[in-house]
Amino acid sequence: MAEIVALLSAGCHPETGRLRPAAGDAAALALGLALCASGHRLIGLHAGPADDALRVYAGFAAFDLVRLDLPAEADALPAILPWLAERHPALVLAGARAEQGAGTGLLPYALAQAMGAACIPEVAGVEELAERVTLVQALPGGRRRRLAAPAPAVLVAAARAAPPSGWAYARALRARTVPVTVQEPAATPAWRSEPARPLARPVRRIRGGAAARMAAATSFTAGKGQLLVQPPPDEAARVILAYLEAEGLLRS
Amino acid sequence: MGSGGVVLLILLGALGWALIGVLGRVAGWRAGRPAKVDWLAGLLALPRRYLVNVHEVVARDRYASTMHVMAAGGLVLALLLLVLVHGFGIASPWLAWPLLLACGLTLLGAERVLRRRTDRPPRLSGGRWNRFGWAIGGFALGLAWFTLPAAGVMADPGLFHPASLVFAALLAWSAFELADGLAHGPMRHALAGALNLVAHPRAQRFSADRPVAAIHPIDLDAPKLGVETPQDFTWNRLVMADACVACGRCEEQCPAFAAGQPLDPKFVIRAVAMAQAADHVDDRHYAGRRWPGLEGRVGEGGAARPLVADGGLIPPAALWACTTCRACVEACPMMIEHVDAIIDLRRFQTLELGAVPGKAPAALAELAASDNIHGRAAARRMDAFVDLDLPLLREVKSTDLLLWLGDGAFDPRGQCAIRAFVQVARHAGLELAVLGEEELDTGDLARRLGDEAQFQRLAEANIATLARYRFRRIVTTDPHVLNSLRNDYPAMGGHYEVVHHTAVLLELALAGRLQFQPSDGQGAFTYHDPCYLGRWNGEFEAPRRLLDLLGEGRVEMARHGKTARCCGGGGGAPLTDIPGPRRIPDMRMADAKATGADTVVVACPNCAVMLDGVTGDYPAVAEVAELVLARLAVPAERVVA
Repeated sequence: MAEIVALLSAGCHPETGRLRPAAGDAAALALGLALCASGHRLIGLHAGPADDALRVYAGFAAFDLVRLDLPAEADALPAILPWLAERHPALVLAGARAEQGAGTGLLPYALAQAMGAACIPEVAGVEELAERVTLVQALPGGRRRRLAAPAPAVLVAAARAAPPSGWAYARALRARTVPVTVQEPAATPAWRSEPARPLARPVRRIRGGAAARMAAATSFTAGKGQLLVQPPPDEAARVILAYLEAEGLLRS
Repeated sequence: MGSGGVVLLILLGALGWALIGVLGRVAGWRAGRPAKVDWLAGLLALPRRYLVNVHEVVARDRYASTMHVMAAGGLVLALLLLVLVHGFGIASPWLAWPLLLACGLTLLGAERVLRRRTDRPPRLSGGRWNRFGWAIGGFALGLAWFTLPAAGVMADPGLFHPASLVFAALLAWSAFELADGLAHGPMRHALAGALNLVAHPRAQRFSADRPVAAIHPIDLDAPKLGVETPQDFTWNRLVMADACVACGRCEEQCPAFAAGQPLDPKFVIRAVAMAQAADHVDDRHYAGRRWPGLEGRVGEGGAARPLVADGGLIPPAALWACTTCRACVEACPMMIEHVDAIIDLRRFQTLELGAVPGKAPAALAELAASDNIHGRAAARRMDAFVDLDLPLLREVKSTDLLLWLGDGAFDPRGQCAIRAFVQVARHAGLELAVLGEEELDTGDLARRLGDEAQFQRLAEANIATLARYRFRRIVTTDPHVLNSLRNDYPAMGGHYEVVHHTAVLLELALAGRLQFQPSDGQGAFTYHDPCYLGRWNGEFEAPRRLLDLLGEGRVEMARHGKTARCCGGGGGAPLTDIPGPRRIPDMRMADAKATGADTVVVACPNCAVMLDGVTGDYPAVAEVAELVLARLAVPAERVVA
């Protein structure tokens, strides 16, 4: 069966800043574990200085763990690329963006470009993996669409995809990682951080005094919808069906 | 051959049969993990544990206790005299008559056993237990017949007299039924029950004035964490499971069972007993009530097979429906520790499999990354109390009373109770300080959800923090915190004097430092005992006396004190959220409504949330400290904010 690599970065709790599984990468791992269950081999890949970042993912299931030894602030791409080129995985899974560092979300695209593979964002599930990968992509408004792409491909997990379940302390504790020494000297990042500046927000001016401002703040402007007050059930059902059809959510 | 000889023959045969069975059972126990047992102390304490601790529970059911005194007392007496009369052949009427009397007593007891069986309450198991009364009675009757010649009532009719043959057959059947039951049937409770009293894993529950209900820590470096198969229990916990008499008193008390959730504490213990004796067994022949909602389910297991699994003897949902309220333990006449067993089983599910259901995994993940289950920064714990200017222990270094805020600090109901307590304590001139952002979750919830790793991590961190400061006592509004710090921390190296805020308030009131306004004629109170203050820590009186000082009429719910019904908020049950046709807090509020009281008084932030969340026409829910604050005999604005 094919080999799948999930890119796992060090997560960061939004309130405390402590290490945890990054939400996007955990969702990518969930995709990988689902494929793992159908017989594919999953490798969790982390590029960073410590095993702990990988260990927080290891509690979810038993799978292979590889860590490319890299300083925390180094660009991961030059280290990951040669390693991937050597292994030729059928799929690379990633989260939308890292929770530490620049977090630009560029890595999967840069990776796909270098690999000459397709990069597919917002992946909600992978249905089949062979010569081609069949997957389900999440679209706005709860819609889904089925796509197929030639393997290898880089898939970015949907932000709202379900994280994996079943984190177990003992699995994380006993997990063994394979450290890989990176030969290339780590490139210094081409960006620097500086304090955020508040951006000017356009304020909508409302004329006509306090009453008008109050009305503007409390009233809701009607949307495109259709308002039905206590309609008979038949009519309500017809309108709902028509709406669903118009949104492309219903196939007759 | 005299007819008396046949008694000896039958008894020796039965004894041999019993011995083979018991040796097999003992081999099963020995397959369990080793346990440290103080044999001498246990043996010396046995009479007291039996006559005081066991009797206290058995005597709550007068019918059962009289039945047991007659049947068991008569049988033991008869067996002792039997050795003299038939064993050594001392055919003296001075021994034979007492033996006849013992048989008579046993027969009366057996009649009571059988009478209860004719209209069997559903909590009692059927199956072999239905034959038990016949076996005891048959044994007493057969023995009496063969003792009559020794008592001089009649001449020995000889073994081949038709009546003798009939009685010999009766004696043989009953003796073998009882002897076989010693390993595989009802009689096992006598043997395992006695051994359980001697080698009880929680020996302190018999001796302490106040129950010390610590959960035993585990070694996190062990190759397997928690209990997967019966053999992963320590051997004395296997004995404990074998001590079960299937009386179902635990079932009657279990709030989850009453709510129709698939938990039956009796079945949990019976499942362990069933599985430990066989390589492979299924529960098709189990004769008690089954998991509510899963009546058709067939579970399989064995001594070295997983106990908790979808097809296992215990369904996973049963494990996670438990609120760890200890009502089952309190009701058990055999001193069985159901909750300990459930925690042991949960540990394996959580630490090894990560199989915690519902919202609990998310809560545990937040706990790991932020030291509280809400994922809030440490400083947020003080948000609701900024205006109170509580001194931080980090700044004042020492204090008389350290106020532990607990998880209630993140919940509006809990915040109200803490604020009310602080205001009353200050009014009475108490010196209070808090840890503030240095305070972490106690790890209590993690421990009860089986996440022993997080409990130990948090306990070690909290103990290290507390070691830096000086304080006399820790006070908390949360009984879960109280129990954790008082009972669970000593094994981790933290020894503190921990008091509940109701105890402090009572001290202040008795010392005359709190004056209450006369009652303005509100309706009556009824007090809801928090499980972790009451059953787990034996504190029933302070809140009640405090309420009595407030002067309102106080009425008790039918289930109060040691038999109080849980609010449903313990043991992580609100997070695992196992569905059932009824809700536990709804049932508790119905209990409260039935008293006619206007107000249910709670003393725990979890109880406050659970009971306050019940919608409909029910009594109001108020916290003790809030009531005290409202009735202080000073104008409200004079109470220091």
